Amino acid sequence: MPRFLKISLWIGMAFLYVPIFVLIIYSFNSSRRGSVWGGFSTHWYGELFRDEKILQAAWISLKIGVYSATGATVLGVLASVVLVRFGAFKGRRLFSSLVSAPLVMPEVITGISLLLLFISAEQFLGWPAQRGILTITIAHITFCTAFVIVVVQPRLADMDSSLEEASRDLGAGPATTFCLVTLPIIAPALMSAWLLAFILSFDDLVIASFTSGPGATTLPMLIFSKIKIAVSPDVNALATLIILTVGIALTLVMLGLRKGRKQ
Amino acid sequence: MTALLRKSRDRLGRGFVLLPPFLWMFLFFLVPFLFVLKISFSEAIIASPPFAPLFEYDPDEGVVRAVLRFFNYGYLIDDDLYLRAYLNSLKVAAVSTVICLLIGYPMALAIARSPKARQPLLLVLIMLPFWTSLLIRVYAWIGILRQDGVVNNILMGLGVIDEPLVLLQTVFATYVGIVYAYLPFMILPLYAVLEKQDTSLLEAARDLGARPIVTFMSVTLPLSTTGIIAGSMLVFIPVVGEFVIPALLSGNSTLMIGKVLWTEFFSNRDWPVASAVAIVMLVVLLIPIMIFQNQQSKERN
Amino acid sequence: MPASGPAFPVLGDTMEDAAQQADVKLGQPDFIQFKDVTKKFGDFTAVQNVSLDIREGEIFCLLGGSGSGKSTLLRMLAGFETITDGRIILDGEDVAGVPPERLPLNMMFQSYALFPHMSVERNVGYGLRRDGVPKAEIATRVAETLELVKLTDFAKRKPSQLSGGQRQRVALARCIVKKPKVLLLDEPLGALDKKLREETQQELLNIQRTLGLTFIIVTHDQEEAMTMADRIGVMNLGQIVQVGPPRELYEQPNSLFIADFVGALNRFDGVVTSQVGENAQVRVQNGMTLKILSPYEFNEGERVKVTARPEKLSVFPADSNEAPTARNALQGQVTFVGYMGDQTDYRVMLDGGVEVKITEQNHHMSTKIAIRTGDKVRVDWPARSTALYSA
Ligand SMILES: Nc1ncnc2c1ncn2[C@@H]1O[C@H](COP(=O)(O)OP(=O)(O)OP(=O)(O)O)[C@@H](O)[C@H]1O
Ligand SMILES: [Mg+2]
Repeated sequence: MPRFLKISLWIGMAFLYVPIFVLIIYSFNSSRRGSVWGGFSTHWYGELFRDEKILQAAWISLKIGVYSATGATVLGVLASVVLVRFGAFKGRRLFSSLVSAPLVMPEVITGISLLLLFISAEQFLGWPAQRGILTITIAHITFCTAFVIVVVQPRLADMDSSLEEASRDLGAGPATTFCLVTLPIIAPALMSAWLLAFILSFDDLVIASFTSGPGATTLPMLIFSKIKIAVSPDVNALATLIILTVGIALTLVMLGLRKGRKQ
Repeated sequence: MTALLRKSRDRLGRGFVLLPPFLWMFLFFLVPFLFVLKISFSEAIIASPPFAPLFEYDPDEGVVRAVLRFFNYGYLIDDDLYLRAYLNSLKVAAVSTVICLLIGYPMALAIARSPKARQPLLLVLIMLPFWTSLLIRVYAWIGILRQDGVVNNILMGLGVIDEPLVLLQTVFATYVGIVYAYLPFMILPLYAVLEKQDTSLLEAARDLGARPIVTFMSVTLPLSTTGIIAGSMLVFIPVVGEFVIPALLSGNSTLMIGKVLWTEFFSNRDWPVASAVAIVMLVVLLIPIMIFQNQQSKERN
Repeated sequence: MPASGPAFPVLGDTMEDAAQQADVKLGQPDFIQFKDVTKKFGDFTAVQNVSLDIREGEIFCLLGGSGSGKSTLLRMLAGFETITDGRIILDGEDVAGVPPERLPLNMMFQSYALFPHMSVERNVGYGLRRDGVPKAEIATRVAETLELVKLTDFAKRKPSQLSGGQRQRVALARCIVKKPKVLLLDEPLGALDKKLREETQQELLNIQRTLGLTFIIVTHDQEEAMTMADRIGVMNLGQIVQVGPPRELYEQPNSLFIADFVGALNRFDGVVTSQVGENAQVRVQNGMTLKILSPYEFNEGERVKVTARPEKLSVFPADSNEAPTARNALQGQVTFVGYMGDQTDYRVMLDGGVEVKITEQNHHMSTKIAIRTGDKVRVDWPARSTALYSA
């Protein structure tokens, strides 16, 4: 490999990681002024766990994340099956566009359009009576489904379809085959798809801001309101916790994926 | 008879698989645009919700009358703030896409040419930041770029500069943030096509007399156009409507339409104008979105 | 391993012609020299101490099993792999360190490696454009070459719109249009079906003769090597085991490995009981005694391996006339009869308890038609068609 390529890879990697490391280091800074090093301390972590608002927002985000990831994974797997196994059918193009457009749609547009839908539905149907966890979850499922498909579809396409045929041949119906053969084989992909959906939901600021109502402040909304005003060291600590949690979860998933592939 | 039964049962089964995702996306992704369109013809009023109804019942004549108000769109034309914001967003998106491509292509190529066993690890390293919170990663740049931030501290410590540089809330910061956040979206589709490229094609080109750089230009690059298009669209389209990055890093230096929409909606509470802004943005992005969709459906077949 | 019976007699004739023409046709005898070449991938030695001279204008086949190092040897010559040890000299110049684009040879890849984004025409013209050949000349040379490989009508197509055989010809055209001194072909016909492969072999030979190129062909198909090569180099475990014209390899293999590799074989284990001049007697399993003509001296009592090719053996009904003394004649029972059209394969369990394979040409309707599974037969072959190897 030419040296130029190698160097650009490592510079690029540094570009991606240096900010994250800086953030982690400063989360252990005892000084209130972010940039001046005041010595090592876990003060801000303690502060974090005493902050009711943060804990509450984190809890809300966690719940929304779990609901959205689960819903999006179910819908995404169904959609992947349609795209991979149904062959050509009328409306395939529409279907394919519909499930992949949210990948690129600017968040502000998705956000405003869903909000206006909810408000109109409330006017005409009386539902949803109030915006909050439910509406955010619906919104998140909508855009996370597209990402689930990105992860699940190639795995499904790679899967040897003779395995399914063998199962059908041995007397299992399509639904049984799907549950007993297909799902276990694509399980690693499902796991990473679920996690990706969870993280996207947990991380989302824009769409949640549009579709949320009073009393449902998610963690990103809270963080955004804090850092818009000033750098606050407790956000460093919070960010570090989030990064480490995600990092560990991802490493586990990747190890699982590897093991799955080796078998 | 049983064959007929089985056939209809199969169709029913397919319906159970197809309908949930289709109806969901139809209801929560496609239909909402109609409401945005509808509200964009409305008028802002102080009420909840803050817009005038589009359909009015006229008791004198006993009919329902639709009142389409085009002045939201006229407003977008009259005030050149919007036009400038659109143009600037397109410019920022285009420039960021090119920068991402210039940085991302060599990285993707380097990964694709690494030993097979090492590629998964490198890919994970590229994806890891993308899986952690975007908000937090953008926030990290504030700590690096501000007046008493890491960069200024290091430069002053080294004696390169005496006065801290103004880095935050500049166009520069905007680009850094956008490229940083969207780089993985460029690298992954590029890697996907480059990794599939048959190395014997490169050897054949060399064998026929092409120097490495010529081989790259005549074989590697043209054979990766699908990846270039996919990656560019994955960066360009969302960046046009980007809100978080300009809100945190740009200050007043960079006018972007996503931020204008946000302000219109949340600060001015002018939902009809915000809707009109969204509709125009959608129209502007229609062609890139179609290119992207084309690419996707080609890949799926 | 496919029986080589039918190909061989035909081949023998053309080979002699080729050998006679050889001195006229072939140029410089040490046009390409491999001198003690070794290639290591980490700890693994893929090619070990290969020394080999290839003449200008000859067709040289590298024959060997999968993983024996054929491609690696070729790729070192083409400049795609660094040489760990030793030297490769091409037309008087060391190839080490010369990038592949500057070597005056071209390689035809097993996968063909056609550029999918270019038309046939542009694929063929690619190498000429790289050399800065003027546009007009490129056009005429491409047209000529396409004519030669009979692809003129397909010039505008993309590789994906061609059949396997057509792609193979595009790959060939792309190489020969550059008029290289040497053409390297890595399993050039591997992806074609049997019939097309045989036709293409002839076409390749014609083109090679017309252009007077040096061909180095990698293959693991011994029949193909036999048909095409002036000389064959057999590789095993990274080493060249024997080099020689096809007939020599077939008739005078220098080891049991070669004998087994080029063509089918009947094998016996035995002990030499006597040798007078070239006439040896060997006692094999269950007390059978074989008569053998061997130019090599063996000691009495030495353990040996005895081989005989299936097409040298004949089978007769058991009650027919006794064989002449210079032949081996053994009794047995037919266990299998396989009628193949041009030939018939038999398997016979000899009374000594060894099963032998026999291939007979179906020249004429003979009494042999009557031989069926279960019949008692006499198996018979000349002493000079048997070879001896030390065990
Ligand atoms: N780049 C490489 N790295 C490590 N080992 C290699 C590499 N290339 C080849 N080898 C090993 O070297 C040995 C010889 O490979 P080579 O490709 O020359 O075999 P071959 O004779 O062409 O076989 P085939 O008929 O299957 O093509 C094989 O065992 C192979 O695994
Ligand atoms: Mg090979």
